[in-house]
Amino acid sequence: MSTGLVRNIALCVFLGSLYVASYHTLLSYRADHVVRSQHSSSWNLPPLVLQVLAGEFKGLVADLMVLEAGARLGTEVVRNPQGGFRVVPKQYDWPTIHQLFVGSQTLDPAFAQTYTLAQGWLPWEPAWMVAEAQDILKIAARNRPWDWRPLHDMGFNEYYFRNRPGEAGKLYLEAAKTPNAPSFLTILGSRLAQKGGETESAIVIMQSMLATKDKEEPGYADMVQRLQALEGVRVIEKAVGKYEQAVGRNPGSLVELIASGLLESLPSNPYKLEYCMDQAGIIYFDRPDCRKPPPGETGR
Amino acid sequence: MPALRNLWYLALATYIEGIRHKALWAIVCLAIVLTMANVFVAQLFTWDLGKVSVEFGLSAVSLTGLLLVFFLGMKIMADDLERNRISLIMSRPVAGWHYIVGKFFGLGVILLTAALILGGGAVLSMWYVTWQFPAYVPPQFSWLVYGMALGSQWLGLMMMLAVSMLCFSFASQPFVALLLAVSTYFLGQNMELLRRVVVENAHAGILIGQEKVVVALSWVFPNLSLFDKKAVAAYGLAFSGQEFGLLVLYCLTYSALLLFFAVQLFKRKELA
Repeated sequence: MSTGLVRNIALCVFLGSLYVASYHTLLSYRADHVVRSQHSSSWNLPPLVLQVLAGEFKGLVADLMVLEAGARLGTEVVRNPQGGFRVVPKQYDWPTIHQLFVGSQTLDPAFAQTYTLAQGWLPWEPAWMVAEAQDILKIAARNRPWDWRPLHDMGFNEYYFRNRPGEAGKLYLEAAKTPNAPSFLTILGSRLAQKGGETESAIVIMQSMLATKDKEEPGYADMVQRLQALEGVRVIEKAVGKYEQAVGRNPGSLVELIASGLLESLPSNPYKLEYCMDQAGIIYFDRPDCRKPPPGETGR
Repeated sequence: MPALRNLWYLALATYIEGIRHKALWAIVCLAIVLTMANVFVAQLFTWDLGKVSVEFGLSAVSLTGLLLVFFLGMKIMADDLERNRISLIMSRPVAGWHYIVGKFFGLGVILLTAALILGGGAVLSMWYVTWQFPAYVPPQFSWLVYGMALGSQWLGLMMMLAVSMLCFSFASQPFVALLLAVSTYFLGQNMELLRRVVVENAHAGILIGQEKVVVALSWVFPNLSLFDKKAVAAYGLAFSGQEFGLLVLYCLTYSALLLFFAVQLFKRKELA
């Protein structure tokens, strides 16, 4: 065997060994650090830096970021040690997921996928990031003047997670102003606003909406009816306020209020129901039995 | 008019040379692939499919255009230098400005052809989305705005082409010219952002007090972000004819100025 051939074989073996060793080390390193790399995020950059890096491809990068956020949500299939597979929820890294939503919205503040996905996950258990979800929805609402859903979702969060029906009602009413918004928003918004002690705001918003609507439009008559009911509530609320000033407490019932002479009679209710005042002093136009707890209410 | 004839022949020769590089055929293939990919990518999303399709299509036009400017355009110019064809051209009754402007027009038409091919693919994929998923297309979406956005993309590319001509005219090496042009592109894309950060933000860090410098720079470098109308087309936002006209004017004046400087510098360039 010639010296040259031996030298070449030795060099080949030496280089091969180096290659195997280095590749093996690399694979081991990746296996050890897989958990860490899954939960770190290269997208976790300040908004300004993201904008600079994305350049004119901001929309595409926003799409990619929201896909990345989506890929971190839901469930995944893992292998059982005994064999077979099982479906388990992913280990959520909420700050990173939130950051992805924020980054995506920084690059494309009008993208529906971002706010819808954020609303679908952030305010709920186990993330409980209601304030963060509201911030994302607020930006979406500002940038999507044709879309009623961001304001609707904000209203839902105010009512469901923060138990603030007045705020929720105002947001629903704002959403109802959007072109092509469904008419139920007006009705629901005024109902919630009044429940939350925002009767005056609900009346003003409904009046402004009626002023811009055509009488022939579907839902117009419902809105007029609801406005009349709210105005009736306002009359009673004012009388209750006077009663409180005079006596120093709420009237026990509407009968007591009328007996005091501060309200001559109950205003007419377009829904043909009796107005009712609950123990907390909230006036209802659609719950004549408001002093009884509603069936099935758990008090969430 | 010998000048016009020279410009015409130089532009035509540049265009034919561009086609001979088979770049356009590669673009046709790219357009087919991107059109199919566009339809697939849009369906990865649940909402705003129309927006995704428009962004993807117009981004493809932009990216391909940039590749053409940076690589095909620069290569054609560099080949003229390296193969000494430029001396052959300049030995005829052709002025320096004929060469620069003729090349500019020829490459501009290549860019236009590429934009039309890729834009056609993008329109097809968007048309598919509007046909299959009409509920997921923004209500104000307008084909006219889409066309104007595509036109704006091309105008932005023409400005980059003028920048690369300027870089070519004074850089000693084609690679240096390429680096300068790419750097200018990144600066130009972020110039508006930088200007806004400094002028409108009281917490701009080290840039506080440098407003005048930044504003001056924003006049020197091309403000390419103004031509980025992808989001406008995607959501059907307002894009007036007046704004489009102003963009055309800005592109024309800035490019003309750069070409003027390019011609002056080209005259002093060592061609041998």
